[in-house]
Amino acid sequence: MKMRRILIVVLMALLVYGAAFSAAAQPKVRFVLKDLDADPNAEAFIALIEKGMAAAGTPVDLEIIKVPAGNYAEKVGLMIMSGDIPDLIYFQGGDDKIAAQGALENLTPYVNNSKYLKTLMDEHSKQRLASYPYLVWLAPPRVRVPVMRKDWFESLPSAKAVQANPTVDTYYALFKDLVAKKGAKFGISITGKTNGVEELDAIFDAAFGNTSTWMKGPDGKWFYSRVSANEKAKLEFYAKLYKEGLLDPEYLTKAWDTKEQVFYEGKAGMIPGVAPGSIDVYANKMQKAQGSDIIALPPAKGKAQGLTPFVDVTKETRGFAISSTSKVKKEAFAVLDFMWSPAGLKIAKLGIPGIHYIDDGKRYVLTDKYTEWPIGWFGDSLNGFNPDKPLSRPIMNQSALDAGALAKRYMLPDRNFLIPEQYVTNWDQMVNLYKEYCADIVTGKKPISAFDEFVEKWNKAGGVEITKYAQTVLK
Amino acid sequence: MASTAALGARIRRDGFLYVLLAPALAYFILFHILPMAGMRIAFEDFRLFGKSAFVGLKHFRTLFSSPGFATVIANTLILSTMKIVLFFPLPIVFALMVNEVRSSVLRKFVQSVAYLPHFLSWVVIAGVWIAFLSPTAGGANELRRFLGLPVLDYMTSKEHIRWVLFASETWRSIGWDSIIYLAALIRISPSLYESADMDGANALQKMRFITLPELVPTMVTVFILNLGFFMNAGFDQVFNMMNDSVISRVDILDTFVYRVGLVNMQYSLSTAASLFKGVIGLVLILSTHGMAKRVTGKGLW
Repeated sequence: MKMRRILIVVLMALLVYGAAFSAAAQPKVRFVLKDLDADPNAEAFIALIEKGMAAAGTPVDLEIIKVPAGNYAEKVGLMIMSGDIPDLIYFQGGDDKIAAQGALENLTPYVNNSKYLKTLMDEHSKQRLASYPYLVWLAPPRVRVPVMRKDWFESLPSAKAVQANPTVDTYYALFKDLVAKKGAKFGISITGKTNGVEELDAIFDAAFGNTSTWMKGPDGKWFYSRVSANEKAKLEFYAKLYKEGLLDPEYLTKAWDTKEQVFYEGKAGMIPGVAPGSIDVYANKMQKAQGSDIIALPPAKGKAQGLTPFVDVTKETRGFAISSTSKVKKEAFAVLDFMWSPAGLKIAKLGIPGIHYIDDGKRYVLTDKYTEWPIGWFGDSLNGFNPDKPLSRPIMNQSALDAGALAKRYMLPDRNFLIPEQYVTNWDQMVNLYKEYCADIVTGKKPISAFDEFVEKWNKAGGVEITKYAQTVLK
Repeated sequence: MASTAALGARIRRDGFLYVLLAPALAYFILFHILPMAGMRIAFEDFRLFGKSAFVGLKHFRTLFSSPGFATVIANTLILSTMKIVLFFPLPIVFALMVNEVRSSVLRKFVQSVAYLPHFLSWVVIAGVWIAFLSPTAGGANELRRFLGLPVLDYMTSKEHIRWVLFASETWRSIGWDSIIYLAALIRISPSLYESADMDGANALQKMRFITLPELVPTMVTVFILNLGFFMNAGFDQVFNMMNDSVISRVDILDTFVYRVGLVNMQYSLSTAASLFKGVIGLVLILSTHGMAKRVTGKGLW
């Protein structure tokens, strides 16, 4: 009996020692990634990554840091500024302020020495890393593309006219047809929560001449595109769409989900969405709601042609960073490199075996749950994803891939700069002025002549100083 | 010295009560008093590493000289006045009305229905009100159509949006805020009403000469405490119900601080704004307490 007790105690001591030893052998990487802490499959996902990395000879112990609910960029910023700095950090804004405090590691040498990641980077990702070496992200440019139901597209000559010759006029004719011939309540719906009319700008900004945030005039001086004559003409057109009921009359209070809802219900003939990720979601939902696929349309052609938001080529707008104070920088980057290896890509893009796909020996059968798996946890790019077995169906709808191709073709590189600290409050007021005048002009509360009044107020609120500053920082 | 000894004696006598008090005391020290040390960053250029430089009143100057600040303060004052001064009598009236309901089943039903909105988040409430006020399919405009009135887009109307905020705040809080008055009403001695009955007083006279005077201490305390939050015009509500068309009417100090301070990570600036708010709240509490003491003899202490 006594012998048995001693044996149990010795075995338990060995177990505790073994557990402690194995944990100590694996460096702990604390990391924060938007929405992962709340995902029901997070634990299985992390276990797969840890297992894969151990098999690849780079074992790590990954710890997900919980982020309070709310605006992710704000919460992560507060967490870091209060001194709690994870090793591997996903940013969705606010990283520049943290980098300015010296809290982020220069990732260039890590990327240069990477085995997989550097080989899969697109040109725009390389450019961004070269000018801002604190964030790395492999994804197509985040550009919005307008989409409509494919069955309506097939039966409307005006829709085909837009595809063949996308102009402001052909779009206008299509919006009218969507209401008159297809019973839509309005031609297009957007959400006003995304920076005013930015979603409508995806189609029309370039056609009216706005091709970047700051543009060079014929006199060689930089001007802000939102206070230009181009902008005035564009807003006049938007006001016409609103007045004629072609633009969703409730766009100002529409959120992204209610905007989608009116599209699936057939009340809105068209909506813009980020390609290819959001478009894939729209395609799946539209298939369920109306039994139809969707189709992406090219942007309107006028003074220029392009899709927006303008793409910042000077830095990533989101991506991964490594803390400069981390003691496991190499291991933290190893996680990123692993996720772009064939084994990592299989986990990232296919999800959890048994839940999102089933390996039947010959192929990977994607389950109904697969559409719920976010393939972009570590970046939306599909570069390098060549599964070792065929898939039962494509990973993404063809319409989403087509929208992605349009986004790449029509993206517009931006010319912009960070607003210096001394102008932050001015800029806030200037942005608010734009948003309110824009909303009032589009909804007919103010005539288009009020645009000149807006420009005057914008200049008074700090526009003159910032435009002067723009001449010194933009080349 | 004598007062220290008296305190010691009191602690020895009521030791158990002080033990019960300890967690609440610890909570206030840990989460309300110690964090006040962080207010120093309102006077510094905050740095994550190394020493933050002392910059005096720089962030206060930036705050007060920013072009939108006057509008933001005006909106905060207007909305706070509407929510505190105009809203203030409504829970009292509601409590008096509920108190007059004779059927206990009906009274409990009315109370439960009135309390429910308090437990909803502003995200949900904003969704409900936006749908209710929708110019195309909302109940409010259906009623207007039925009455032959023109459709109104309340949410984007500069003239109506503040009243929308006031109405939604009332809908959310009237039931919950009436609880304290209902508790005070229950405390009134029935003998006072019995005496009034014998004197032939009618219901209105009983309310005027018994109920309302008995409610005054509660009303004064609630009003003074509410004034401490005068500069908090309701971030969650405004943030969820604001849209581009009404920014100039509802952008308040908290939403301004959120955008400029938190989203742009200007933490020193946002701390300066919070300190400014806190000082105003403190001044309002102290001055109202003083005035209330002088006029009614009742105050916070």
